Amino acid sequence: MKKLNTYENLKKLIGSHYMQGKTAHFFNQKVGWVSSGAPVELLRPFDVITLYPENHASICGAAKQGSEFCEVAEAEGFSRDLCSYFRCDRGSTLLGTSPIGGLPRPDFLFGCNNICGTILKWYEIASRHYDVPFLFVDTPFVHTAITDHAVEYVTAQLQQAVESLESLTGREFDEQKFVRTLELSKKCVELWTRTLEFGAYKPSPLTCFDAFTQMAAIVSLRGTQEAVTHYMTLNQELESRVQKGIAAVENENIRLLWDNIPVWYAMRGLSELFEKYHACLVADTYTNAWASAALDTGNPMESLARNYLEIYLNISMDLMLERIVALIHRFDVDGMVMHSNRSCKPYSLGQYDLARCIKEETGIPVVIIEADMVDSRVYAEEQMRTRIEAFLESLGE
Amino acid sequence: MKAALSTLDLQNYLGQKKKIMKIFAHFCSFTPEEILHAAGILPVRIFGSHVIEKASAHLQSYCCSYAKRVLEEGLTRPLDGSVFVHSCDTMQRLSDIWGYSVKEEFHETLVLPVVIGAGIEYLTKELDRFRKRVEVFSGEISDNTLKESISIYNENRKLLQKLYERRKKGHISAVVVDKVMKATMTMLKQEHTALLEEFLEEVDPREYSHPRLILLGSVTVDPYVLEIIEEYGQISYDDLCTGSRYLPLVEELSLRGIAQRYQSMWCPCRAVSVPRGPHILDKIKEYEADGVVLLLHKFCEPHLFEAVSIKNTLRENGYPCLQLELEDQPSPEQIRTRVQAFCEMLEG
Ligand code: SF4
Ligand code: SF4
Repeated sequence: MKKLNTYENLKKLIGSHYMQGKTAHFFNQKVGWVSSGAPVELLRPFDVITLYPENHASICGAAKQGSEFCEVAEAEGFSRDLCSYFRCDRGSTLLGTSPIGGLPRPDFLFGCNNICGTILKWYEIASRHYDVPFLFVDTPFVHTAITDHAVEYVTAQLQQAVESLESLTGREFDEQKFVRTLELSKKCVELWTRTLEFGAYKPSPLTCFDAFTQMAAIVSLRGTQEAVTHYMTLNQELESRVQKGIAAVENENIRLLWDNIPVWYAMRGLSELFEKYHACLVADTYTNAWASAALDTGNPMESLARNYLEIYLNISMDLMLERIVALIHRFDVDGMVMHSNRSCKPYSLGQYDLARCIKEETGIPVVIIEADMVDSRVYAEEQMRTRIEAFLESLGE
Repeated sequence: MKAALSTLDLQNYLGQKKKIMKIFAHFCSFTPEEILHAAGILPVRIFGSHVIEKASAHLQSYCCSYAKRVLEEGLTRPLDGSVFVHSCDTMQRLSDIWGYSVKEEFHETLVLPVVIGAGIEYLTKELDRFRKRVEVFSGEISDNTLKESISIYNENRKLLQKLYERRKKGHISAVVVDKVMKATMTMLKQEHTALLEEFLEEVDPREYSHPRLILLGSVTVDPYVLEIIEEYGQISYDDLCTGSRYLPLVEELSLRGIAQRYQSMWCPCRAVSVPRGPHILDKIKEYEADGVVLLLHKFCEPHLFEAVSIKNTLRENGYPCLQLELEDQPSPEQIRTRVQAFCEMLEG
């Protein structure tokens, strides 16, 4: 797989993001830990430093240190059956270290249950541990359609969060800055959507393994100019790849859709395996979760509420199925790989039925592989390899 | 009900009821049973099949056994409808999976807020949405009927509180309490109330013996686990969904009142501003308990998360605690060995 030049760019960007975190307290800046699905746009006008424990856990996972941190949390009494992002974060907190030297102490936490109930428990525990406030936004699950009372409820909480942030930072909420953040966020989401759309080219200039790496900025730096600039550069590189006919996977022969969070510690092995069969994972449901925002700067709070209510893990299987089928058609894939991820119940439970529905609706085959995103102790490499090979061989025929 | 209790066959009871009324399945203490009752529907809490076969085609191995068992029940013995509430991530997905595979006339999910206090307005409106959905199925539910149903539930819960008071004064076995609780979650409330009144007149609490235990957890699916525990110790209080958490009354006879009742029910699936540990300490003192048994389902995230701080609080205060994690097919022998060792240790 050809590495994107923009990778170096991203490394610098994320490096300085974490560096900012480390020096924040020295410069009297407040540090907030934020969940990946939380409306971070609300925080930016307060000039706080935002860090993402989930992203941090994925870094630990990719550095193959995830299981080690998980074990520390388990020794404290946390069950091995809890989300490995949480266990990894907890372990890193207790040890005070990680591949990037541990996350700096938060001054507050900002989380939203639109990705899972785990966030609530995780942040409650962190908030007690650090004795800092936890600003929580409760986003009722969307089974059929967003209800008016859910929008009202979330909007009111966003307003409440603004007040809490004002007293936390001693600053007033700057509406103009907020609107500018929303614009940047919108721009960032559009550019990210464009990035992912490149996967529709045949051959595709990127694979979902690129997207998994590149998503760090849309998750952690949404609403900033740096993220916008980064994705512009990335898209230029992808554009030039398309012009020159450079494929991410040579002789692309099989096009696939990936479902769920990556297996962070096995990224390289997996990408090589797919490449061997000239199979390119041209799209995935995970990174696309950040590609749907339709922010309306005219009605900022309500539109923020609606956006964050509808994110991928906060919608029913019917609604997920609609989005998956749309991806299958848009990216013209030949098959789908579902990572049944022990850690993440909201993402994984339901996959068996979804797989059946997908086969019925689109006729494409689906393979389900069981693993965990960070905890490599449950990874059965050989079994995984055999399963994927059998699937790719049947597709190649 | 003493006699009635020992002879009461809930499956048979439901079989009879099925002939004359609609029966809906539900799975959580936060289900607004009162609304269903007012609609002339019998809400029945499902505890699930003992053998898991068909459900394995829908749920991964790492899903809690409660979800698997209830789905198995739905796949093998469907009722007329089902009501899910947003309790945990697992239940949230199970609602959809169920909707895809169980044949029924009605299926709805009440999307609870996670912060009941701040979400009271939202919850009241959500209850109203739910009521309207039920009305499409059953016909109008008048305010008066709703009030009557709430009163009927309150009356029953007052008696359940009495049962707990009696249990506090003297020992009534947890197996019996569990039977009463499961019966109230299955039967038409007024019928259960009549039996419970009789039972309370007849019941004769025994002297407490030792060691005295407090039982914590979610739902007791297998009564035999309680039987095993009570061979070695006495459960004098519980903090269970199928136990004391069911007891609070609705103060204001309205949808808002139903919402407010939920505010007084502790649940690890909700935002907990106060950890449960201190409350358990109070109960230990109040009930002069010697130790605590945590009865959890393997893979049950909300309870597994909370268990750690509870265990820490107990340890810091010098109270022994035994954690039992139930798998798909719990092994009675293993449970027995652990309970026996724990109780022997308590007897010291
Ligand atoms: S992996 Fe799943 S359970 Fe864990 S924090 Fe993310 S969304 Fe929540
Ligand atoms: S609360 Fe626990 S036992 Fe109950 S359904 Fe959820 S995960 Fe399963």
